[in-house]
Order: sequence, then C-alpha cells, then structure tokens
Amino acid sequence: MNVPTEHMLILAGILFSIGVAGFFLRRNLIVVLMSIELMLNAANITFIAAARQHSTVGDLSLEGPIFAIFVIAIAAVEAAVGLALVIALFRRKQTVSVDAVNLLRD
Amino acid sequence: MADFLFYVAALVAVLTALGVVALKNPVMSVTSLLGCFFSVSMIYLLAGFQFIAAIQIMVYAGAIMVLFLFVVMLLNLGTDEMTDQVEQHIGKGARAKAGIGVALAMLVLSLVAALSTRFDGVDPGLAENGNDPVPALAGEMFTRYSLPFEAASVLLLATAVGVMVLAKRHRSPRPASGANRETGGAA
Amino acid sequence: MTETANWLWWIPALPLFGSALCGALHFTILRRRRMGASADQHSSISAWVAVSMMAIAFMFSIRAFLALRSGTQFGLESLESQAWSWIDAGSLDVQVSMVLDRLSSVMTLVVTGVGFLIHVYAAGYMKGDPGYAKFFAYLNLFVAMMLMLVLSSSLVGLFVGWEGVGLCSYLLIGFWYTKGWPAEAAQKAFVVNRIGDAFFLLGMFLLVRVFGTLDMSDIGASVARMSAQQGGTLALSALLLFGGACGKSAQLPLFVWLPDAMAGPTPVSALIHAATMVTSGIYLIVRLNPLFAAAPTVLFFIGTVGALTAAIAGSTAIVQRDLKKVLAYSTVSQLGYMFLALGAGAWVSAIFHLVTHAFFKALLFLGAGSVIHGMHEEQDMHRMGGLRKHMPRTFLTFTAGAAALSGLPLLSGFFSKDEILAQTMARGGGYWVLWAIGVMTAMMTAYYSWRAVSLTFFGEERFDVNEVHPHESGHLMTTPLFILAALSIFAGAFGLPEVFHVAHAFKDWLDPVVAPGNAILFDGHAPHLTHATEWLLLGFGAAIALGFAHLGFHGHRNGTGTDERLIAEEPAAARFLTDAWGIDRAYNRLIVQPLKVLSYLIAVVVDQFAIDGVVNGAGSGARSLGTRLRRMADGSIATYGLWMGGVSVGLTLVWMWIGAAA
Repeated sequence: MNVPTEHMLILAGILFSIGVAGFFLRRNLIVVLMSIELMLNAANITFIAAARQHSTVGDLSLEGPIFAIFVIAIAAVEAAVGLALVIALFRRKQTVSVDAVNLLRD
Repeated sequence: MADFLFYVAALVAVLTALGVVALKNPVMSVTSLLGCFFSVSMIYLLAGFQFIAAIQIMVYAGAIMVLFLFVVMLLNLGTDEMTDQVEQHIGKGARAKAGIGVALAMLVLSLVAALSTRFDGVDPGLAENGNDPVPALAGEMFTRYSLPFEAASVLLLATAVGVMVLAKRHRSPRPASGANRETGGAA
Repeated sequence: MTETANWLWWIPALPLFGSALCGALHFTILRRRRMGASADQHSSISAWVAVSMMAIAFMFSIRAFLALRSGTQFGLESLESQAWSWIDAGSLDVQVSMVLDRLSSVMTLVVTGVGFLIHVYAAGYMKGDPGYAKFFAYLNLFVAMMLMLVLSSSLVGLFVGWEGVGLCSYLLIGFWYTKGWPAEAAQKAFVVNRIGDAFFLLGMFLLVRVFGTLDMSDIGASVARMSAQQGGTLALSALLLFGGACGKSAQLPLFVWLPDAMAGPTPVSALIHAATMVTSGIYLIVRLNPLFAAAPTVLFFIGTVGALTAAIAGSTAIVQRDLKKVLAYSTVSQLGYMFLALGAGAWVSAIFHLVTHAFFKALLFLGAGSVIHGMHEEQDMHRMGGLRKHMPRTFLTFTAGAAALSGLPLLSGFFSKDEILAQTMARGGGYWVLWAIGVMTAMMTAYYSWRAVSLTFFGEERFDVNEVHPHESGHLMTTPLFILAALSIFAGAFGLPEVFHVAHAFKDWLDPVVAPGNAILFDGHAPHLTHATEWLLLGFGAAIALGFAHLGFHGHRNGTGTDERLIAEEPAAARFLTDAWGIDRAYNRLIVQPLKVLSYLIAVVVDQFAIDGVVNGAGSGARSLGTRLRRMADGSIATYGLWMGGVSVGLTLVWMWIGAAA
C-alpha cells in the first residue's frame, strides 16, 4: 500500500474530531464513553502511520505497534471502569444522562 | 488495489464514526462503532501490521464492544421508552456549541499539521510481510518496555478489582431508603 | 598617674542594688494589698534600704575623696577601675570602666551627699503614698545612673548614665500618673531630652571619627594635637555636645520641660531638677574642657545661650504664682549662670556654683515641699501668707536658702555668683554684654527669691483658717533642711575670692583637671582682674543683692497687691512673662501642631487608605478572582472537557506558532 502518510493522518484527525464532537454533543453517558474510544482509535492510527513512515524493510520501527498495544490495553481498562461507574450511577439515579452527574458542583 | 481498499475502509470508518455520534438509539451507536473498529482493523492490515489488526479485532471489537453492548442491554437503553427518556439526545446549549467549535478547531489543526509536514516516501517493501513480527515485538516488549508492560498488567489487575467494587450491589439492608429493590437494573 | 581601686564599683552598685530590692518590696506590697494584708512594714523597710544604700555610697565617696587628697603628694590624679571591654569593633574600643578624678569626686560627693539628705526627707514626705517602695526604687535607680554618668571614663558609659537619668526623670515626674497631667509632663520631659540626646549622639559620632576613641581622657589629651587641622570638626562636635547639654540642663530653647516637671513629687524636683540631673550638662563640658577650649567661638555661643536663658527664666520667675514654678524657673536661670561661666572659660566657677546651687536649691525645694505638705497640697502663693508662725523651722531654713540664692553677702551663693560675673567681665570684649545680662539676672534673682519668701511666710494669712490648718513637718523632713541650710550658708568658705587672701579650695582642688583647657584657651594669659576691680564687683554684687531683695521683700509684704496691679495695668506684659516669653506656645504652634497634622495625614491617608487599601484590596481581589474561577468547576463533565479541549487547542496553536517562528 502506497498511501501517503498524510492521508492516514488526515483520517486520524477526522476520526478524532468526530470523537470530540460526540463527547460534547451526546447526552447519553455511554455514547460519551464510546466517543472516547473513537478518539483513542484515532490516536492508534496515528501511531501506526508513524511506525509505517519510519520503518524500512531491514530496520522496523516497532515503537508504534508497541505503543498501540498499550493504548488498546488502556482503552479496555478505561472502558471497563467507566461502564462500572455508569452502572453504579444508574442504580442511584435511574438515568444515564450527562446532566445528572453534577453533584461535585459548587 | 490496496490503495483503493484503504480509501474505502477510510470512508467506512468515517461514516460509522458519524453514526456513533448521530444515531439516537444507543444500540445502533454501539453497532456503528463496531463497524468503525472493523474498518480500522482493515486499515492496519493493509498497512502490513497484522498483529495489531488482530489485536484490534480481538480486544476492541471482541471485548470492549461486547462490554458496551452488555451494559446497554443491561440498562435496557435500547427500548423506545428508555431512548425517549434521554430527551434531546443532542445537547443544544452553549456548551454544545462550544464543543462543536472545539471539535472543528481540532479538525482544522490536525489537517493543517498533516498537510504541512513534509514526509519522505514510505518504503514500498513494507506492505508485503508483517511489519510487526511477533517475535520482534515480544523481544522489545519484554526487554526495553518491560516496565510499562508490568505497569499495564498491574493496572489491569487494579481495574478488575475496582470494577468489581464499583459495580457491586450493596446488599446491606438500608432501613430508610426503599430505592434499592429488584426493579430495573438489578444484576 | 592613676591607681586601680576596684571598690569604686560599690558607689553606683549600692544604689542599684537598693533599687532592685525596693522594687521587689514594691511588688510584695502590691501582692499583700491585693490579698488584703497590711504592708506598712514593707514600706518602711524600703525606706531604710534606700537611705542606707545612699549613706554607704556617700561614705565610699568620702573615702574616694580622701584617697585622692592624700595621694596628691605622690602625684595621684585619679582612681580607676576597668571592668570589661564592651565594644571592640575595628578601631573602636569602648571599655566599661570607672575613673574617679578630682572633678568626679566632687560630683560624687554632691550626688551621694545631697541625695542622701533628700532620701531622708522623702522618707517623711512620701509617707502614706501607696507607691512608697516604688518611689525609692526609682530614686535609688536614678542615683545609680547619675553616678554612672559621673564616674564613667568613656563617653559611651556617660551616655548610658545620661539616658538612664532621663528615664528615671520620666518615671519620677510621672509618678502620680493617675492624675493625668504628670504623665504628659513626663512625656514632654523625655521627648525634649531626646532632642538633646540626638545632638549628643551626633557629637559623639564626630568625635569617634576624629579621635577614633570615646575615652574622655584620651580625647582630652589628643585635642591639642588635632586642633590644628581638625579645628572645624572639633568645634562642630563641641557645639553638638552642647546641644545635648541644652536638653538635659534645660537651656534655651529646650528648657520647656523643667517647669512642667514640677508635676512630680517635691523630693524629685529637689534631687533631679536642682541638684543632680540638670547639672550633667555642665559636668560634661567641664570634663571635656580641652575640646571646648579649642573652640572659643562655641564657648562664646555657650555663654550667650546661658546668659539669655538666665535672663528669660529669671524674668519669668518674678510673676509666677506657683511656689514650685518659681523655683523651677529659678533653676533654669541658675543653670544659665553655670553655662555663662563655662562660656567665659571659668570652669571651676561653674562647678563651684553647681555645688552651692545644689545645696540651696535642694533646700528651697525641700522647704517648698514642707510648705506644700503643711498646706495640704496648696501650691499657689496667693493663697498662702503668714506661715512663719505656723512653720518656724521651714521658714528659717527656706529663708536661708533664699538668702543664698539671691546672693546676700557672705553666703555661699554670693561668692559663687560673684565669681562667675567677675570672670565674665575679665574676658572683656563681647563678654561685657553677657556680664550686663548676668547682672540684670542677679537683680531679678534677688527680687523673686524674696518675693517668694514674703508672699509665703509673711503678711496676712490669705487662706481660710478654719479650712486649712498649716502645720510644721516632722523631724525626718526638717533635719535635712537644717543640714542643707548650714551648707548653703557656709559653703562659701570653699571658694573665697583671692582678695580675701585665703586659699580658694575649689580652684586648688580642680585646677589640675581644667589645666589642659585653660592652657588651650588662655595660653598662659589668663584674664585677670585687678584687686580694686574685684572689691568693686564684690561690693556691687552685694549692693544689688541687698537692694533688690529689699524691693522684692517689701514690695510683696502686704500680699498679692503688687502682683494684681501688674496684671491689671500691664496684662500683656504679665502674660508674656508668665508664659516664659511665649516659647512654649511657639513650640506648640511651630512643632506640635504640624506634627499632629502630619501624623494624622500619615495615619489616615497613608496607612488606612493607601497601605490598608492595597493589602485589603489584594485580599478581596484574590477572593473575587477565586469566586470567578470557582465557577469553572461546576460538576458538569462537559465543562471540564471543554476546558481541557479548549486549552489543548490553544496550546497547540501556541506551539505551532512558536515552531513556525523558530
């Protein structure tokens, strides 16, 4: 595949922006968490693109994939914890609306 | 050919991502995200990173999305009543507008960054074989990156414990509140 | 040559110890009174302690004097005792050490002797006062400080004593502070003194710069060497030191505190403001006579100030109604005489007058105290009269004092005053003017002294005999009076003029001390009066004294008539004189009021508005900023997310911009 690296990065940028928009726009907590996953994926694409750019056949740049692995692990962790919190919240307030989570206000 | 496939996959990814944000039904959002992950995995494959592509499917699509789906189903968010409960699924206030503004800014920034960087060409031989051979990855992972590796494993352990604590239902009888009954959402 | 005598330290140490002891007794008395027990025994113990300390100190002074006297044949000039090195900084080395030479032996005898008598008197005068022990603590402390002043070998030690007596003066003037005005008088005394002290310090700084040392004998020895190139600086430092003396010895224009200081108990007035503290300035100048002798212009200035002060104060004393105020202004006037003597280079005469004045002025004050006590705290002479029948002993002794003060022939005051005037005239030139002023003052002195005697003890009784029962004072108070009276009458024997062909004890005793100064000033040509002139002056002085005494006495024999006529016919003049030529009022308008305005300005405008405004403003500014920032944390995820996103976009822009620039 000879797609120029810029295109991969543009894709990552678009996905990231969509994730950010979803984070602010959606009022369902679970969808917000999904937007976060989207953002993380965009980051992963960036890493892979960079690894691809900097590798040669004889000398592979492996930092990219390794970091992507870690990101995936973190994403999993974060999704798990976030969803557990959502469940706990739902038990209290019977809702998953973002506006319900403001007890820490002034 | 591979290039063409890339653009198709990219398009699908964007569309499904938009679907996540725009679709009203949370279940549909989850499914859309699933589709996004598949297309991203395809892109990894096209770029020659087979292992990462596999991991993407296994972990993201196979575990994380399943988890999301579980929770959505658990909380019965897919039914029409529940969906309507969260009225105005898209916030309309100033916050939302600011959010769109931020998203657009980020989009513009990333586009500018991507386009203004001068990249040398990618080595053509890369796309053939695995660009992330597992032995090499493992070698790096267990030597140079052993510390983050161990830290990540500790993190996973902590998460497992934490999630269990967080989602635990308090079985201790609470005299005053009658809210914790077997109704909706009980595990 | 000098000899070490470590027992010298007993002289100031004993009163210091007595002060501490009386202080402790005072607190014990307070505690006992609070618990309701009687504390009379403790009070009398404190009196015994204080008086005996003075007696022993006096005996040590006598011993020192005798030691010096017997040592003269061996060339003994002074006794000294070094304690420790206080300041050792670079080239400056200040020792804590005492030196007793002939001058300080005279001073010590006066301080301890007259002080002893006054202590005895005070034991009777202050009886019944709740602060009896405190009084003696302060009094002994004062004597200790004065002795330090007189015995110290270094200007620094002298200054310590200087400040110490100032402090004790403050404490004692304001002894009855609960009455209100004594506290103000005490503060006034202290503040005016402080002004003088500032000059003193400046003078000391100059001296250190020139001589590199503050040891007075070293300075005195080096003056002759230095006066060639450093003449100007030496004169300036002499002038500054005189400024300090003005404050402490109540000369123009810093005398305003002394009349107000009469708010203190009468023994205080006698001891501090007649016999000892106010004489520190004169002592200082005589001690440093070489320095002053090297600046003849400054000396003339000193003489002028002294003469003017004497005249102004004398004129004020004529119209005072308060008996103590008469004596206060009289003190200022007589101190002016001493400074006049110093100005004429008559160091010995100044000291002689200092001693005789100590005797008769202390006597007069103590007598006045006896009168006031007997008249139940009445001090206005217009409400006295005819008291010689009721208080014969007080009357006799007071009259003796008045006679000495006015300079009636053959009494001590006659000889000391005449000597001063003679020496002044002998200098010639500009000193004639000063002499004339001195003569005028002598007239006034005789007049007001006998006016006081006449108004107080003679004439009709101008008080309600049924209300007020004047009584003679007890023996504790009258015995010192008699002793002082004897001294006032006979002390002239120590200073008989040449023409009597008898040795002048004072001059013989003090000549070695003032020889350096005389050498610099007169260089062998000491001014000399012919015998004829001397006899003439003696007669002239006697005539003035007798004449104006007669005028003063008979002018007021029939009561307040003369005074009232003066006020009626010349009210402006009367007020002018009564207010000490308006100097106090001038001070008020020129200095006190502007200071108050300035203080108000600084307190309200600068401090309250500006400084508090800034500080409080900073505080409230921080709080409002915090309130505004707090709204950032409103509990909503979106807000937090917005902040994060927004700031990260901003940062990225900044970095891109910087990166582009670089």
